[in-house]
Amino acid sequence: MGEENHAKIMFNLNGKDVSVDTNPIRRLLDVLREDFKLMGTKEGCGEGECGACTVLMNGRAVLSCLITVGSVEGKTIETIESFSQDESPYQEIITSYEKEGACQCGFCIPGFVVSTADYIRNNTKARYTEGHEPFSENSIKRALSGNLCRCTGYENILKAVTQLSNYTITEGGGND
Amino acid sequence: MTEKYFKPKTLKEACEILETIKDKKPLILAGGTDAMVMHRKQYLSTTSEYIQPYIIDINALKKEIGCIIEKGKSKAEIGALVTYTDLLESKIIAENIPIIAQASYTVGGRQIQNMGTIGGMLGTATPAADVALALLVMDADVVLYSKNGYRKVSINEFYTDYRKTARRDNEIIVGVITDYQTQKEKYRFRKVGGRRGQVIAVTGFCGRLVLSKDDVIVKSRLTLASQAPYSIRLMELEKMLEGKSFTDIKSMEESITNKLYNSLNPIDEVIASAEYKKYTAVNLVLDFLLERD
Repeated sequence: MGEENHAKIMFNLNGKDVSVDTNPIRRLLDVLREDFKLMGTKEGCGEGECGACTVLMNGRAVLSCLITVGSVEGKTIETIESFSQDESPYQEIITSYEKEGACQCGFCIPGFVVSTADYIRNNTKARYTEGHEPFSENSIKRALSGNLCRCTGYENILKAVTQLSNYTITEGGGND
Repeated sequence: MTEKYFKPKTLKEACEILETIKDKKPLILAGGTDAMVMHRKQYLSTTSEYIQPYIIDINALKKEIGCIIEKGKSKAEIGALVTYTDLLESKIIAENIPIIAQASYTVGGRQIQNMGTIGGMLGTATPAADVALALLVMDADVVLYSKNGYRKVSINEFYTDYRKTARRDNEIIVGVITDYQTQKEKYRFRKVGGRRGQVIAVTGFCGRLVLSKDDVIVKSRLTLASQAPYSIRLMELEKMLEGKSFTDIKSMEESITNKLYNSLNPIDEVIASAEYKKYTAVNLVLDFLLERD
């Protein structure tokens, strides 16, 4: 890849303004793992099926394997690493997953936790829900349908998210 | 941004860039949920030498072409960068065009709904698109923009072949304009797939019957996904239904079944055989017309 294909891209990553000089067509996933050494975000299928690479962009769950780093310019990105920081509004999610033992091999869990954060932040905004009440089993299953767990540890994950029904997140990086 | 990756800040700028590189057939990148998968396949391919495509990333145009706007009292314009999540959270859509929300609800998983856009769906023209069916039953217009100004194309004429559309090389899809649904109509979006969430349609169906005061069908729209190189309307069947009542339809079950079964010609795929696709299509249409759940 030639010199001409480099650009300086600035965005907010886990609360800090960062800039990276790279080919904008690279996947956000690769930039997070290779350039920022944030290994919590995993690559599973690499084509938008499994959800292992889920991160929050302006407070919404997105797949970092399908996003070019060029399109992240000016956006706010939060990865699983930020969830365990002391001041993180998402700590409760991790605690609930731990309490329910909602983790087997662990590969898919960062994606599940990030999707859960999106669900808790935004689930009341939808006007069309096919009658699924927030935090009902169907509603949670829908919200997590973009994440696959090959250990099939879904039951405990479902329990962990159900227990977060009284938990609200208002702060956190960026709103769209 | 670079020689091959452009990130315009306005629609006008995007068009100017497109005009200068249109013969390179650049990828106009919106949500990326489909385009990036295809790009990655090409990149990883061992048989073809990878050539980095020219990309015009239009994600910075969200304010300009990413909103849902009321047009007078009975129409709405949905910008090309409107995501499925935007559609599900929109008051305008929920109150006036619920069929679009119903179709959006089944698209991918939460992440795909957050990323995928109406413009991207129209541009990549996959025959399995869900919301395209809702736009077809609404007879929506696709709005395109180039240096020559705006151009409207009916969605009925927009798809021309497998992943081919009526968009010209120098045009950008900027949105769709659709009427509101009427007070008196029956509609349904359904799809058959391997599971409920995050699934690509084995067969997608969207139907809409506009009724007169005495429940006679005055306008009918029946559409299917994954049955042909692009989303199709069942025009012959639609004509058969106009002027009929639901009691009439009950006596037509056999002729509808035969007509439909013989008119479909899907291909065998990994996700389902052609025979199974035809079978599911007939069932989805009959369930709707015979008011079965």
